[in-house]
Amino acid sequence: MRAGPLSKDAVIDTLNHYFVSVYTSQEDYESAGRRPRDEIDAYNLIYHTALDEKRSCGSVSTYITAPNGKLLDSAVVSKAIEKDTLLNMLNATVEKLGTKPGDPVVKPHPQSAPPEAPEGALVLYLVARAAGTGPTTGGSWHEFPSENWIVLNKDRWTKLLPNAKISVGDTWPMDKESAAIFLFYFYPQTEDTKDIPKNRIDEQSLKATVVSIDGATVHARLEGAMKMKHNFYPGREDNNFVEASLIGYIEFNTVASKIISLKLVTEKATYAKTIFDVAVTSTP
Amino acid sequence: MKSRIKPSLAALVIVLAAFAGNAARAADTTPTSQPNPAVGTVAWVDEKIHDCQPTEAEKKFDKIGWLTDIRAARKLASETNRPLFLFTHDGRISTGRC
Repeated sequence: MRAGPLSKDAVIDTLNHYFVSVYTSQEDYESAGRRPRDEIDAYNLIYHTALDEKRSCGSVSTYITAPNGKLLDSAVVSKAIEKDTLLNMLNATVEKLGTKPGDPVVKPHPQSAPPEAPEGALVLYLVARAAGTGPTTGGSWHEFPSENWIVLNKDRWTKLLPNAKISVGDTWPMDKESAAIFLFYFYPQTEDTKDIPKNRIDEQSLKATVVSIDGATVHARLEGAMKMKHNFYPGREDNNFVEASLIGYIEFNTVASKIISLKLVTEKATYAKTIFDVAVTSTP
Repeated sequence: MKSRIKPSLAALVIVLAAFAGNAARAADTTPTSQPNPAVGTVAWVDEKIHDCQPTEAEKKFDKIGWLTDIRAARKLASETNRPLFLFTHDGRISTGRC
């Protein structure tokens, strides 16, 4: 849907100028405690009404309600992505209700944004991109890259730094447990319906070598490798592994005990037969 | 006369150009100071990071003014007299982990 109807200009314009648009993740509504009871009830009302009225619906679906909440139309994703099905549904609703166009009632804004993080935390932004990824070239799962926002609390990221005085040429291994927090997400786009996939890092190395020291600022090169088990489909065992060599750099201030910049990418990476790249950057 | 001078001048130009070229290449490869091995790595890593980033075409989903709360959407639909469009999915459509 994201790379299909929801990326078409006519659908985007119609939603912005005639509708109030909302999306939800099933995981939040099926796992206890993630959303308030009345929010879950609001979803259930729409879903069960569609079921009762024998309309097209499912976990991945589109629904249209009138301003008063009455369900008007719905289409399960396999139907909604067909040709102009969604656009036709939207236009039919506008015509039926006589809705007048107007400015977007919610200003469009980036949907992938840094999470709230505790004071002093290091926030990393990760992008995973399989070879050939693109809206028209990628096909299933590879129409757009995947992103992750990863938060390392101060007590965790400080363990990535050396624990003794260092000089140019010195090397230290980055704390395995701390590095594993972001290496855990070094896999390409797959069927990924759980926030925390059941990955297993079997092999992992990441070392830093001091390249230069300018006052209190240390610049170090990062090198490493990893092997990780990752099932393509959650809950369905397969024999797919990530194998990657890693390269990057880190800049930190020894006096302020602060990471100025951390950047890490895959030098070469494969997942089963898929070649992919991952890029991690620290955010200001 | 003219025809004899021209080839000579041309040859001189070629020789000088070749000499200058060799000198320039020699200057490029003659280490005047120890190169910082990080410079190459940094540029390569930065380029790869740049190439990995989502493109505008891959982010068209962001051009829609989305809410992520049905209650808020219903309230706004009622207040603005607009129909509500709900898209439910598995995973995180916003980050592409879905």
